Amino acid sequence: MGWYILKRLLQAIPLLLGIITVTFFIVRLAPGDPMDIYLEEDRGQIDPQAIELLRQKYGLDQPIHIQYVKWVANVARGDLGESFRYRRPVSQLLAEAIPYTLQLTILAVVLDALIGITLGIISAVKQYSVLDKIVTLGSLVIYAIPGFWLALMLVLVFSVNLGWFPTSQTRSMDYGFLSFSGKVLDRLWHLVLPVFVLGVASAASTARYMRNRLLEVLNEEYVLSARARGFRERVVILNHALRNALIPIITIYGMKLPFLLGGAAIIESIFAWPGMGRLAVEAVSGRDYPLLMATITMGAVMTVFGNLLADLTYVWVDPRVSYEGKKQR
Amino acid sequence: MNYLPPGSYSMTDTSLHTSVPRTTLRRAALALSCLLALANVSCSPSSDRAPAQGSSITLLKSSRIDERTWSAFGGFGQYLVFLRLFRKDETDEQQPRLAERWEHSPDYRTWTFHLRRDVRWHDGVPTTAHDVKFTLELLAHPAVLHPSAFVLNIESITVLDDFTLTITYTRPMSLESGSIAFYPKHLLEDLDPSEFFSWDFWTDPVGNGPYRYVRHVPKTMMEFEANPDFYKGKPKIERLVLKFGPDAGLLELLSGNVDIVGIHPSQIPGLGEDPRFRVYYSESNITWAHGIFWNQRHPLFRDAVVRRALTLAINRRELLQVLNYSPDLPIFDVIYTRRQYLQRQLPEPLPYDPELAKQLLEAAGWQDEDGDGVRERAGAEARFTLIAHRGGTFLGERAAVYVQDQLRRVGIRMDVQILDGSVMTERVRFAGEFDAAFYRTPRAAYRMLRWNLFGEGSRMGYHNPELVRLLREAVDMGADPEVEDRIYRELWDIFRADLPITFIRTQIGHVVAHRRIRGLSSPWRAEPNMNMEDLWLEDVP
Amino acid sequence: MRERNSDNHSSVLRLSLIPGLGHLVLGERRRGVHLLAFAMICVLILTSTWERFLEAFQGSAIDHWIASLFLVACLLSLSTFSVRDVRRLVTLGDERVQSKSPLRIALRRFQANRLAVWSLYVIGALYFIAILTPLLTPYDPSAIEDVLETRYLAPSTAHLFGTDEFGRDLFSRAMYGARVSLSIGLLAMLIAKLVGTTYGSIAAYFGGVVDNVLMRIVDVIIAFPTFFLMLMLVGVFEANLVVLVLILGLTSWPGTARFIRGEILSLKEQEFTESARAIGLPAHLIIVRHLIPSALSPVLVSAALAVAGMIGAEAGLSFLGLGIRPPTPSWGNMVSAGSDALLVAWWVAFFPGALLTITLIAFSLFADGIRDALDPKALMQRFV
Repeated sequence: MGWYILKRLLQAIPLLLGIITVTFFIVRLAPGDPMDIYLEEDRGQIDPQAIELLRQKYGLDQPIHIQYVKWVANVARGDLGESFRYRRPVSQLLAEAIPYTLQLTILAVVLDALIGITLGIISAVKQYSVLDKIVTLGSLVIYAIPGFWLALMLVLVFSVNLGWFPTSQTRSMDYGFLSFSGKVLDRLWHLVLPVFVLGVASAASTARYMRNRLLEVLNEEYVLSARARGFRERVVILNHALRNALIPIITIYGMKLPFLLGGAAIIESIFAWPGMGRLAVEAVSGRDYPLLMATITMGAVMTVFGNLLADLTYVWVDPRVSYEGKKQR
Repeated sequence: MNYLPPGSYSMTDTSLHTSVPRTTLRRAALALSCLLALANVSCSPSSDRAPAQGSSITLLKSSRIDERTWSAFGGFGQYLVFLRLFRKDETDEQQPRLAERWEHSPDYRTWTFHLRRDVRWHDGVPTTAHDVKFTLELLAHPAVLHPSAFVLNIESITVLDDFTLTITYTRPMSLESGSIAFYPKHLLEDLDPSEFFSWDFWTDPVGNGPYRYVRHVPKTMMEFEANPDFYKGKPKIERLVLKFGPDAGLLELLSGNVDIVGIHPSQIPGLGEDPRFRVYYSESNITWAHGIFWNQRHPLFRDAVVRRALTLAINRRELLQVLNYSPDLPIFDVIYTRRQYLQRQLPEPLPYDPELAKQLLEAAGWQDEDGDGVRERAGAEARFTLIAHRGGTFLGERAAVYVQDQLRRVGIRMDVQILDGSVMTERVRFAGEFDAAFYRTPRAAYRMLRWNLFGEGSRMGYHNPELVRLLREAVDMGADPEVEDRIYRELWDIFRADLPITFIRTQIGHVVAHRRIRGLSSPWRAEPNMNMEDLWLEDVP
Repeated sequence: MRERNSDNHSSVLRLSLIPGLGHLVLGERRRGVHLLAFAMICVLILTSTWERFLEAFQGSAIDHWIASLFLVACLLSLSTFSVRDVRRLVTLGDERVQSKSPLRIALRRFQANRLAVWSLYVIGALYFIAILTPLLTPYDPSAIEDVLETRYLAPSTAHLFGTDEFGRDLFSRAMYGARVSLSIGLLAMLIAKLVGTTYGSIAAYFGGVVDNVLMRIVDVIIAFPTFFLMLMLVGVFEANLVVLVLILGLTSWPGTARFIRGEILSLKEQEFTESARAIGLPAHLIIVRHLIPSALSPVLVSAALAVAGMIGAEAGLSFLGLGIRPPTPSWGNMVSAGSDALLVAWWVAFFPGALLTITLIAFSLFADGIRDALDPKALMQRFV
């Protein structure tokens, strides 16, 4: 297993290199001098010498290939540059933001798994029942609702009109004075709407997938034979079919990560959630190139590792897949 | 293919039991708390302290503001905790603050500042000229480089005595760019400037301003208390809470969570008729006049008659109302001195007269011959693209939408392109790549000259030697307000005849505050962060 | 039926110049009612917007032209179709039921799926309305009149969706928004599929090092969360309509490329390809012949889903203020403008978003319908 992990990690290196290359060149293709963007209004007034110093500080005085090599080397060292806007190391900003995004996405995945897998199972077991039809159709519909609109409407109904949930933010003003359990509840209370919006669409696709997988598995020979041997239906489903249907779901979660991160960009902006997605959106609208390059790169890196994690779990859970076999994928 | 070896059929092997054991639940709870703790690493240790008694208000700040840079490079908290050398008063005039008085050489390159002697850091150490010198040098350090001409253009700094220093610049300097907070040398001189942005000082700053930093709950709030040793006396509002909120802070205000919110005027209708709140607008930044810049290299705008027609065609009064601005704002066609603006001694603006506009356009040869609603002349359509910022302090999308419709009615087709701030600056000020733009011009003569709006090679394609001569004269003789007024009155005639810019408004900010907060007033004292030390609370029935 | 004389034929044919009547006479009620209803709608639109219809030919607005011509074309093609179909029915007689080509079977299976059929209607209606927008809008979408009196009016019979902050009719604006959103979705999807297919084919065709390099590039692009990639590109390049379509299309092709390459490679290894090569037939001809039927269904399904995805992405970007920017209305930026006014006027954000939702649901139901119709099993895994 250890060797396998190492091998997979080594395989990821060229991919990561590709990612940082792509971000570098896309941002550098941008029209205009980044320094002009940095200085904006002041650029006509500052001494050329001082501007040269600023250029040096941001490494913009060197030819583009040198800049590229430096960028790669710096990323490898974990140095992502300094944000134009915040004038702080980007790595610090990301370190503050990523936990919030993880909170949101992990809870969304949990919600997704709880609702999605349960509904998928019920709907497959009771195929063609009314419930099944509701789940199949409902999942399609919910999956299609754009997250930002759903979020706005939920805020309108549950926050503005009913006042049940906060409109935004991660915690209340009096957070500092709450007891420990109060703090946890307060944080959860603020998480309800964003996690719901992010998780429910994802749950819809899981439910659909789960249903179809389980139906497929239920038609497999060994399930039929288990039935024939007189096991109770519940035992057949829980013990025999479900295990096999659940395993591929792991890969699905690996694949979902990019969608969740993309969705988080919008959801975080609506709920003033200080995560990575919001940072990316701010970087775009403020043309904060160092921050932009870093957040997008981080998004991709997280996706790569998310997939890696999913693959490893898959290998770990499913005894039929040998490490060697996986390599071929 | 999906066959599972028979051995793994047993019940014990399945991960999905029908009843979840207790330990699993506990583990799940633990995992959850860990997850929440993820983003809670830097909670301040003093956060269990009960809220201070006495007068206290809460302000909402957009959480887009990074909470820590406030102490490094500007932002809200800086005004409260740190003093600047001078500060703009409600009438846009620089007033003494840390500096008691100052003088400059005739070429504006050498400035001498005399500091107050009664200002102390919050730890009791007096603030001196050494702190000022230290800060300026710190900000110019290659690892820091604060991008302001006031810092980066320094040639030399000489400390004459503990409370007097002289700064020499490489080029003429104005106080406009001198909005810089100063930091305590005795606490920072031993720290490594290359770690500047990570200094612990920024999370627990010691300043010399009217308020002291108390605590900070990341991503949530920051608390300040009145500084009893403030040189003007202890501020009346004892406790200030800065809440970091969403950009649209109206919901927070209406739900009673905060007392003051800076808002975009488009949100004002959302307040409805709520009696708890008052809207204030501040016009204090009359340094800037916003309007439509017509690029005279565009065939449509070359003719002053057309520019006049376009100005007549836009109902500027209604535009301001549509944007929810106060009906008290003046409409103007000219650039002004501070006195002229404050005393409303501005010449009568062109009226809203679309019929006259149409006549002028006809007379200038722009006629709609093919009946498509757009005029043309010699085969060229009366059509152009207006570029505008996405919003903020500038005239943005909303104003563009309105102007577009107004011009359509007189047969001019205007397309709109919304751009980011930096691109706008590049296109309007440096490249001159635009037909028309929502932009702003400085009011001061020396700045207009530096921007080269009207000189040779003007980016607006408008070169008027007479105008430039008058601006130069204003710079040379402008020390006397009477003279400045007189020169500007001569400028008026040129502006009114040529209309290179159709002005719409000055720079205006909006604030909503709870009624119990007193001391704010429109338009000159509406910025709570500038005036916090002068505000007080009054109970309202 | 075959015994009918030619007189009878020609009278039926003449009758079917009015779309659907011929079918009704022949007892083809379903199709007849549909054709007739569609024709009636066209005529109704034509008569009720007669003046605007004529205006199109005086002015120079291209979209207005297209709308008017489209309406005429609709009526003409309905008539033509109706006549030809009736002729086919009359001459074929009962044989028509017998046809059993796989496509026919798929079509019938699709028709049996009522939701899918309805979603197809919805999609059709949306595009139909989008094209006819200049004729149909009750108000000028950008006209501003007495703003202070007309702003933020609640939905009523005069303004179905209410008015926005400038007193503009939201119903009209939503129709213009539909045009922008729907065309962006379609165009971006086409770009993505075209680039993806070409790229995948090239990789598979050349194989070896080329394939390896090309697919590593795909790996890299797939590693990015697509929305992040779009964000970065709209941030770096000034997004106007064309650039936005390109950005959406050019960030979404790698999935297709991977799929097409996989299909071709697996076909390459099939026996019939080998044997074809043995008898001297060029392999790529064989591959193309087999590729089309085997890839058709997944490509169609993913195309339908991609249109929805693109519309959704555009709306998301515009909502963040980074995609289509006002004053051009798109559903995304309308919701964005409405979110500012959520407290005073919920309808500003509600209606465009609701339309967007309906569109996305219709596309996903439609995709589901094709998937079931063309290949009821097995494809599921590929496109979750």
